Amino acid sequence: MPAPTESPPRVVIIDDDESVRESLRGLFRSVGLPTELHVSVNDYLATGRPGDPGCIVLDIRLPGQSGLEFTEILAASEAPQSVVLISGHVDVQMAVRAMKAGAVDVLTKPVREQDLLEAVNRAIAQDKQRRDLAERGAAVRARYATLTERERQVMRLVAEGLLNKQIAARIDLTEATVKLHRGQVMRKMEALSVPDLVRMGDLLE
Amino acid sequence: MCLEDIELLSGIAATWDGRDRMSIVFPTLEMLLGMLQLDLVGLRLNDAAEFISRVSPTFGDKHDAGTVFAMLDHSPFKGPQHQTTPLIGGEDLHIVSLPLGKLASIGTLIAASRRPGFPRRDEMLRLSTAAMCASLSCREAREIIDSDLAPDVRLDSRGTALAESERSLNLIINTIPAMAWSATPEGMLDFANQHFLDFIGSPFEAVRGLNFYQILHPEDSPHLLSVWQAIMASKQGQEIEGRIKRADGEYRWCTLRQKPLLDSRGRVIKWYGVVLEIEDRKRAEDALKATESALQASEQNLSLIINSLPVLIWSARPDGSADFINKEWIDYAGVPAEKILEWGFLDLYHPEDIPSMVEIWKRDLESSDHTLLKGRIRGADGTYRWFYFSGRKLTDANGEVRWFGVNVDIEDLQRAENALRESEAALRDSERNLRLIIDTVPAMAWSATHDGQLDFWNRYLSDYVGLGFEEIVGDGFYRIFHPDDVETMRSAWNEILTTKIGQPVDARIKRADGEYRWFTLRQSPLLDAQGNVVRWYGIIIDIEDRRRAEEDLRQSQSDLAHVARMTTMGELAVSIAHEVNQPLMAIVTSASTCLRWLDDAQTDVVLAREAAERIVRDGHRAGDIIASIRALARKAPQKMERIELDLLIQQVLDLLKGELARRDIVVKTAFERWPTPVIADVTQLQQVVLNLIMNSAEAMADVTSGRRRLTIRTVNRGDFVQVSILDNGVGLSREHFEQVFEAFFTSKPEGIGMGLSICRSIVDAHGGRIWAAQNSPAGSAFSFTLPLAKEVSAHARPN
Repeated sequence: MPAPTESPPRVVIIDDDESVRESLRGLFRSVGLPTELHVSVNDYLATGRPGDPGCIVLDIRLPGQSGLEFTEILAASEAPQSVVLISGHVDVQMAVRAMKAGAVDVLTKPVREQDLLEAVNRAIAQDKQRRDLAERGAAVRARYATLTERERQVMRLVAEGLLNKQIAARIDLTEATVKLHRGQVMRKMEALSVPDLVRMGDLLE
Repeated sequence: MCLEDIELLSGIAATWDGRDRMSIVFPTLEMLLGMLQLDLVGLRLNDAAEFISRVSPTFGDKHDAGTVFAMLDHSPFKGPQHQTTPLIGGEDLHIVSLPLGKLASIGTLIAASRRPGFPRRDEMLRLSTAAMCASLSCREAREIIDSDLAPDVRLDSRGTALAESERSLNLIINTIPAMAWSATPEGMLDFANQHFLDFIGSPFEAVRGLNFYQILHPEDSPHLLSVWQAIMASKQGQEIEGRIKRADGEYRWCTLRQKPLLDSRGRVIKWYGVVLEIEDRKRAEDALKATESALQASEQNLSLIINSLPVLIWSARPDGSADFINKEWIDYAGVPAEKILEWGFLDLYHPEDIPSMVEIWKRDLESSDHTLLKGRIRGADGTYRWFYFSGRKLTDANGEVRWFGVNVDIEDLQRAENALRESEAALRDSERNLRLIIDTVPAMAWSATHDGQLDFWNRYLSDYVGLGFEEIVGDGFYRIFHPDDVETMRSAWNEILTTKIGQPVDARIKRADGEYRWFTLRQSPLLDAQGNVVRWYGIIIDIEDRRRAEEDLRQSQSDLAHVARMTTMGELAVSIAHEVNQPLMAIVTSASTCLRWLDDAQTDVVLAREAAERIVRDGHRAGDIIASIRALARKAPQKMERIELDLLIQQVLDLLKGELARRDIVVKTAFERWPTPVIADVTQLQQVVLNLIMNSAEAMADVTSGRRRLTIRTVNRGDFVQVSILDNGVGLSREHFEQVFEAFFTSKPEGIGMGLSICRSIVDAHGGRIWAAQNSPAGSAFSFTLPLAKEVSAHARPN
């Protein structure tokens, strides 16, 4: 599992216009962000490195698959990426669709440099956060695997907010036995508190 | 006839018995009276007081010869004298006096007649002969009287007196200009006078006795001999004719006359005779006969001519009544001659014409020697025909007046004349009418000489331009045009004059009020048989309204094209905005970048410059795109200029790049490697290319993404360049190849069907052609041609 700081985030730029690509590369360079240029989505999918941290800046209107469609596909995929959409003309409908698809921002060309940089930073942060979360989820799942069936049952009911007495009645055990299992779950899951255990339960879903 | 008379007159002398001179005077007078049909003939002898006269019965009844004689001038005269004396009763008597003997020493012969023209020459000749014979006889008589010999002595004695008398007679006989002879009772010639001998050119011995026959023509002598014997037997003189050999050997016709001198018992004492040469008479007679027969033939001929001439011939008396008409006249009138002669013809004249015709006829009869009339005469069929009457007065030698004339049928002529007059009138009317038309038609008409000098124009023209004849005539005609059009006009007119082929020329003409309006001038030459221009004719038509309508139409078309362009642009607005936005985006971004590298915190001039260079480059690119858009959106008058076709197509493609990309269309261009300059209006041509590309793009909407291909090709086709736009879309059915260019034809639910119609009108206006066809293997191919700009097409044509 790679560490979060292993490679610096880069900005993937997908635009059919070379001038636009070149100018964006220049801009991101001035803020120390490396860039990866692609003329189309297909080009990115064929030669890009989707797993790398960072974000994608792409035009909504592109030859072949449009930027909007690609954003929607990414959002639904197992490896979502942070996307900033830019376009010459953005109507409300398009903007709503973009936000629903999880785009960090939708900007109108020509884009104000500050807005673009902020959006890209947010996107990189989101990416980082998502990556972090994904890392924590994996750890919780490993600990969860060590639980017995009874322990998992107790953990689910604790996450639901039931008291020991209530749990005992539900699964037909003594309150003490429930208390024993509960302690076992808290220790195995390395939970600091019940709310912490509840959050872990969320990650598992 | 005259000769015979003279013979008779001279023969009288031979019959004189010498007794009483009256015995020769009376027969002479009688003979003259009858021969010349005189009214009065008389003889006055100087030695006798009485006037011996004879008068014709018609004269003697009314007049007295003595009275007439008394009125005459009796002064001595030397030659024949004429005088005319009026008689009681109004008639004139023409009198001729002839001297007997030289200086009228013997007396005077008087002959008179009431006949006009007396005496004629032949009458004078006879009178002179008579006078001469009479004077000779009288002289002989006087000599006989002077010698105191009684006239009958000669008969009674044969003494010396007689011999003497015979001797002197011989003298006379030998000197008179007649051939005289005497013969014995047996017929032997015993005397021939000198004249006779001179005529035959022989001495008397040669003809003495029977030798006489030797001078006769052998053919005549047997006959003459027998006649002579008969004469001698009968003792009666007889005139016989025969040919006598003249001194020169020529036989001449002569007449021989003889008379016997008888004694008291009736026995022949001697034969006396004269020979008269009648060759001339004979010849004259022959000639006369010939003349007469010629005359007769001529008369027949004349009659034939007169009767067969297709004109009505007539003669009239001095009073105007007709006394002759030819057959044609009779045939024409279809009535017997009697109904026309005298005054009958008047019944055949048209009643309306008679008064004036008669008036003229009477007037001319009195005071003119000819007449000319015109009138209608009724023909056999009852219809009247027009005739022309021409008559002439003729006075003959006798002073008789007659009128001769012809009537010529002029009906057909008259009709032709009337028709001509009518047609002339019609022509005049038509000319007037034509002139009226020419002057009133709302067009300017003119004509010019073969070398182009204006020599006529109608009133409309002069009224319109408000200029006088002198101002426009010839070369001045150019002043009616707008100053800017004069040169065009002049060169066009020169070309027309050179080629002799009319062609319409448009120019502005200044109206009298100073306003210019557009006119078209049309002209055509009138050529002679050799093809030379005789004259130019032309009209000038006001086309201002038409021009305006055309301009309006052009404007409408241009407006429509503009609207269509704007519609297309509207449809493409998003794509086009994208195209403009891209460089703008790049510029703004690069500008920010540039500023960042100039920031104190992280100054990097090299990178700042790089960014600035991108700004410059993208700024230019933005400008280009905007220029293309402006060209398409422009609503400006047509402006033809020389452009490179492939550059224009590329510009349109640049503009559509985004749109075509969005539609996932792959564009391929295949431009002709030779330059393809055309003279065109950029906006219009861009519209054509844009429309065709978008048409193809839309046709490919249903094609699987990634397989949409658009190909634009230019090919040099000689004087033209052909542009083809090929797609692999749905294609067109064959029957729509033509229809697609019609207005309002559309296969698209949202289309208005003007795009291709506009394309066609633009291409047509550029002198090109546009058509649709099928592309292989699928889709459609739209092509259009444009004429290549000349200077290149001439030498840069590829093989």
